[in-house]
Amino acid sequence: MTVHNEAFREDIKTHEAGAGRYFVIYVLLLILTFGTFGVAKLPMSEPMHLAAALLIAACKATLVVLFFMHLLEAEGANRAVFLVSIFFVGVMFFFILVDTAHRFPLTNPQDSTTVNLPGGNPVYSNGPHDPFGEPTPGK
Amino acid sequence: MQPSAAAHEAEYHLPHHFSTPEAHNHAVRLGMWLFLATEILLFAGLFVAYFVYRGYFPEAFIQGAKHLDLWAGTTNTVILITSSLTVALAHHYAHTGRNRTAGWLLLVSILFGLVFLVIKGIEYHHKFQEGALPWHYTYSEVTVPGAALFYTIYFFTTGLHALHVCIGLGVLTWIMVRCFKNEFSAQYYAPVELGGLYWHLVDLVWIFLYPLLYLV
Repeated sequence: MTVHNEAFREDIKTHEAGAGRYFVIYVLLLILTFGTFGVAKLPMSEPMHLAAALLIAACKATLVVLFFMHLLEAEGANRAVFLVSIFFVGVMFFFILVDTAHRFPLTNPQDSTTVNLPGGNPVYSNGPHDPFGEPTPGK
Repeated sequence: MQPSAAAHEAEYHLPHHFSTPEAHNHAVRLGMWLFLATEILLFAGLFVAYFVYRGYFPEAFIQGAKHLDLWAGTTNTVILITSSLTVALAHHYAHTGRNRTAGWLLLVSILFGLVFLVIKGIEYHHKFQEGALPWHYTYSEVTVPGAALFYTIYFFTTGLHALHVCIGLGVLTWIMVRCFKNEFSAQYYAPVELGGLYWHLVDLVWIFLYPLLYLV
């Protein structure tokens, strides 16, 4: 039976791995924590700060998931469950953020900064260039 | 002396619908990962709220982050990462039948969790006193539009996280007691593994909350 074989293989693998590797991961996590702390003090633009912080957090999360949570040696089904959940998080982020970034400005909260992403409807945008003063040439 | 695991293996009864203990382990692990997926999506909803409102009020989020206690946040990050290490080690030792070592490591993890909650409580208390209340915002240091919203998101995300820390502490306590009763062996250690997975998830959420709320 495949179930037997897989279980056997996995059991051997977890036995082989010593406790030492947890300390290695721990030190890496601490380095990344102080890294993100240091990067936040660098003179960079706000989007760059956000991107750097998210990148470092993603690295830390990957270490925790793969080694502390043993996804590296987990069964395929468990990996699939995790990856699918991350995929759906991505779907939720993508559609909600694209939606809110392209809304008619009057529907946005009072005093908010209007976000103008490329591809937004120029007729309704009140960004730096006034679409009513300078009509876009038709194709 | 560590008592031999073999003496206690008799206490583990394989449910009749599983062919082997390994198949049983696979099943409980899959169930836990499914539960963790729902947890990830629960927190993701709050993270989406964070990014949507950060898009609307970037200045409020930058100012708000500057007025949180960075040292408390950083200390708590180190505390949670360390507790994650001790839980991972507890899982390792329970798996190899060294229940007593695992029990002590879990006790250390629980103490770290309690310190985390105390620091969080002190932070909350300061913010309450300064008037950064989501329902009655009178905080005079951050008055840009959307400032109240930042603190609402701060309290909701860290509050839900703190609730998970509390639940995690309960789970770890239960497992610790079972460790000291010498209930786990190489054949049966699923509670330590699954409780550990829950605690690591709590750590995982904080790994993202810390930079987003305190740093950027």
